[in-house]
Amino acid sequence: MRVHEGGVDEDERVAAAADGDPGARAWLVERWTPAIYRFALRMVGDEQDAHDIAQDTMLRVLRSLDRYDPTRPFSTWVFGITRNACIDEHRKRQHRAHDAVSEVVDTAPTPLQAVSREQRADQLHDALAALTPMYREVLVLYHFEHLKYTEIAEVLDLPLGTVMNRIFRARQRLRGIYEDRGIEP
Amino acid sequence: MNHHPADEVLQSFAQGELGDHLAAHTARHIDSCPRCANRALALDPMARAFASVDDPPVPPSLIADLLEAAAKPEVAPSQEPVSSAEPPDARPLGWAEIGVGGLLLTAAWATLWLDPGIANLPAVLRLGRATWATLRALGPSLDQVVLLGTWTALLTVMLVGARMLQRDGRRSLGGAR
Repeated sequence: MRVHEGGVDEDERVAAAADGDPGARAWLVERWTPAIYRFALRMVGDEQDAHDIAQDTMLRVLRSLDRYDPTRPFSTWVFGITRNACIDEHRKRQHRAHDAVSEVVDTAPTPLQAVSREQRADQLHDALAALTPMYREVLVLYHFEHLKYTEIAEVLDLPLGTVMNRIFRARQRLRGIYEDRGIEP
Repeated sequence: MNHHPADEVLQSFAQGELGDHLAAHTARHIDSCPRCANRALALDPMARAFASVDDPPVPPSLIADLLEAAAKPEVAPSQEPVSSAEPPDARPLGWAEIGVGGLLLTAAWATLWLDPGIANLPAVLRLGRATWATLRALGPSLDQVVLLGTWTALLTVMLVGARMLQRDGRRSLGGAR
């Protein structure tokens, strides 16, 4: 299901929010904060960091609405800002020399015959965490946030062919991780 | 692509076996055709893994706090500029851009160093501030800064060294005459 279709209603509300309409601004917060939080959480893997990123990103969106180009989809603009915040968080972590991701990579879960829905979610999140952010973000944007391929290309500011290549490689690597761990997708 | 791609094409698409051009065409079709999007997803074994995952819950306090903040006039558009270090459409610097940036910086520093007419403390400070502001605006990663610094320093040393050798050569020639 595509949840970020935009449309006339959203365009009008964005324009109204840019003009300072309180109702439209509240609507934007309620509509977009969950998507921003989910994307951030799946990129950084930490609830508190995702909370901070979502808060900063939403406030930045509200403050810079007058700079939004209405000829572009609102979703790609919002996810572009969120992505930059996640990149900044990743850089901060590199500086802190934390290596939480490698701990996830090094774990070797035993093969499971029958797993619950929660376990499947954990397996997927662990496997996604083992991918580099470059591969993780395209899969999260496509499979979780339901962006179109062309929209992902716009968020990443890359040609569509490059994005397709990245998605295929990301899927291959994810499949490889599942195979290495003996997990059925 | 007006017609629906065959299953074989979608299968190759899902496995990344199409060339860039055809893959991009197929992607555009899939973007506009829910039926083919679903068929392509059905052919991707990893899609099942994503489909079985629920969305994580959003902390209620996050939305409540943001609703409160959104109602405040100081969060209105244009009240606070977006940080120049984090522009909305920023992206990681490419290595080619780092290379070009290094060349430009080298040219600026080497000119300052080699031209006795403009080599003074205020000029050095101005160029230093401009370099710092540019780095902040572009937001390169730490390893890119290290590479850019090394690249600039090496090129500057080479240029200055070449110029000094040239001067020594001229002096030697003048002495010989």
